[in-house]
Amino acid sequence: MGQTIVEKVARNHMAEGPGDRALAAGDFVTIRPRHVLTHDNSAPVMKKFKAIGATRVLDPSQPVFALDHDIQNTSDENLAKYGAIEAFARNQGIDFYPAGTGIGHQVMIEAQYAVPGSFVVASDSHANMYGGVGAVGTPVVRTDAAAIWATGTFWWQIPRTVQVVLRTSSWRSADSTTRARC
Amino acid sequence: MLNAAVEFAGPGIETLSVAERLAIANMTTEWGALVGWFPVDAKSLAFLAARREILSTRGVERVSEDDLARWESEPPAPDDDAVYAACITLDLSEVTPQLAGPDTVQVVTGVAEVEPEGMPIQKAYLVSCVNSRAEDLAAAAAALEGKRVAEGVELYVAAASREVQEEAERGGTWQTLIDAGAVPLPPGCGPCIGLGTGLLEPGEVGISATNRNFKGRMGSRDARCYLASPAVVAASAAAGRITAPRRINGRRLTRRFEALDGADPARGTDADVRVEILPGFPERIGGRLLFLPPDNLNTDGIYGKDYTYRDDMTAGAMARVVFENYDPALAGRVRKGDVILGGWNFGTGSSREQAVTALQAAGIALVVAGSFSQTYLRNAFNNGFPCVTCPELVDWLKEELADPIEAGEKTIVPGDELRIDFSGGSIDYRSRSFRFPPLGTVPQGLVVAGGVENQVREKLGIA
Repeated sequence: MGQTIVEKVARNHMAEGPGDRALAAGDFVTIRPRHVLTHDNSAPVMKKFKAIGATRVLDPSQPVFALDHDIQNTSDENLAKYGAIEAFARNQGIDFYPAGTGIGHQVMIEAQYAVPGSFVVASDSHANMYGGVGAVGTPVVRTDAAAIWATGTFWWQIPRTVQVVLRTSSWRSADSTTRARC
Repeated sequence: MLNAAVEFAGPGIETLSVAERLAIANMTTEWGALVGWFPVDAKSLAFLAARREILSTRGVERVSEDDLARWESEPPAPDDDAVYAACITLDLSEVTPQLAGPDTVQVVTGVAEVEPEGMPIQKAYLVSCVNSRAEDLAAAAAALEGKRVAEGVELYVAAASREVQEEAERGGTWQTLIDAGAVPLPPGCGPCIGLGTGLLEPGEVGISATNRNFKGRMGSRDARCYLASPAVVAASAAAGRITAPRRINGRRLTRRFEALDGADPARGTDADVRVEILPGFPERIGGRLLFLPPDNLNTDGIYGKDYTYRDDMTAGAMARVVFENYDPALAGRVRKGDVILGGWNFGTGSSREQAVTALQAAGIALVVAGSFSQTYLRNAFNNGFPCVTCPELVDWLKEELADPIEAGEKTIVPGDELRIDFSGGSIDYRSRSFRFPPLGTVPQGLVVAGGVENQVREKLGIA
């Protein structure tokens, strides 16, 4: 049976699931994502990670930390939080992007963590953005991020796919195209 | 679109720059989609190669020459006979500047319709991951060339990254924006998430090239916020009212929608298929039915914000306030082992975990619904709480109980039992049987382990 891009890319990153047949919408699988982005919420994810009892991130090349949400906040409390996130990253060997580098999702594109055919997640809803370069980008929640740090994987259900066909019936160049917000 | 993956296709894609594709993919989140995928073509390959060059000047390589060659000769793509749930066709050349809002992303109006009213604005924003790349800043600069931000308006600008800002500075774009009176912010989320300076004040109208304008997100709940493209935001900042940078005729976008037959994950398996049941997972669960008919029953209705940020709520306390904002009488009626049946998009809204754990605290055995918010589903299985999708049952029961539903009853307790047969894949109620998609070994494993944190502990060999 013909596969959607999500079914194909999920299979390429599948750690557990129906091994003997093609994936279909509704299937539950365990995914090993290429990367998982956390931002300022790296701090609560660290808390969950520790509460689980984990100490070492299984694959330090998998997480990416980028501080981007509260970067104008120079209170002692926020700076201490940012410092703790950075210390954890250094200790574990995780790529860390300090406040001022950029918005995490932009970093994932610029630094080429999200690439064609890769399955990349973030504990932030706009992970969908990675699809612009042909990656499968999808959001997870903080508990999932902690699970990925500890085990490299998280559970996922294959969604149904809607195809959106873009046509253009005029000579308009890319420069003059505007965006519709559905 | 809810909880679906979106695949873009068609000849219009090659007219879109990579920055435009990133913006559109970003906005698929607001459609309720879980993925927004664009195919890889010559434009994306050129972008990827250019990024690779830039990274190599810093001694970093994450993409190899071989990768680029492979993506060119065999780009990742769906099969020609892939099975889709629906197909939507859009004509890009019909697109005219649009405005979303106020206060919701879902209501969209053409700028051409709003412009004649002369809607004044006080704040304008060009920030965020959706719209602050170099070409977005350039589009804004073009709209502001030789102009200044209007009296009484503040325009805030942040690049999506320091690199983008440096590129905009080199090209002169950044200076054009500053010269026009834009207030620069550092490369981060800032006002998009309501953090830092420049937020909306009570009574203000804002226009923003970001992805969300929910009430209270970008500042005061007594402000109104519209979403628009960078060019419209910049032109509006200069004019002091909502306007597009050039005259456009008010064409309406036509959208063709075709629901297809295939891949409905809510369809159950055939009746003769037995589902593998893991040791420790119940083959059957039965419980008294509590029917909560409305669709979009949100997490504020399930567990209020007054309790969400308190660390001292015991299980008993949580059980007493469960569903308080939806039906204050419900908590007192719940009996241990009850089964809840909800409508469509159950658990939509915030990702507060207590929307699940409060139900567990009250002794509810599981939730069956027409469909679930994906975040709710994640929180549920992460806490070992089973959720089952069964739209047929919801459809049927809404008809059966049309009278009390129309009378406005929020919680209907018919008094009899719902029986869920996990290995047979059916829900039995009043001698009818409804199929549902089986819970495979992955969600079962989460329930048996009592949640993902326990499962992780097991995997790590921690007691």
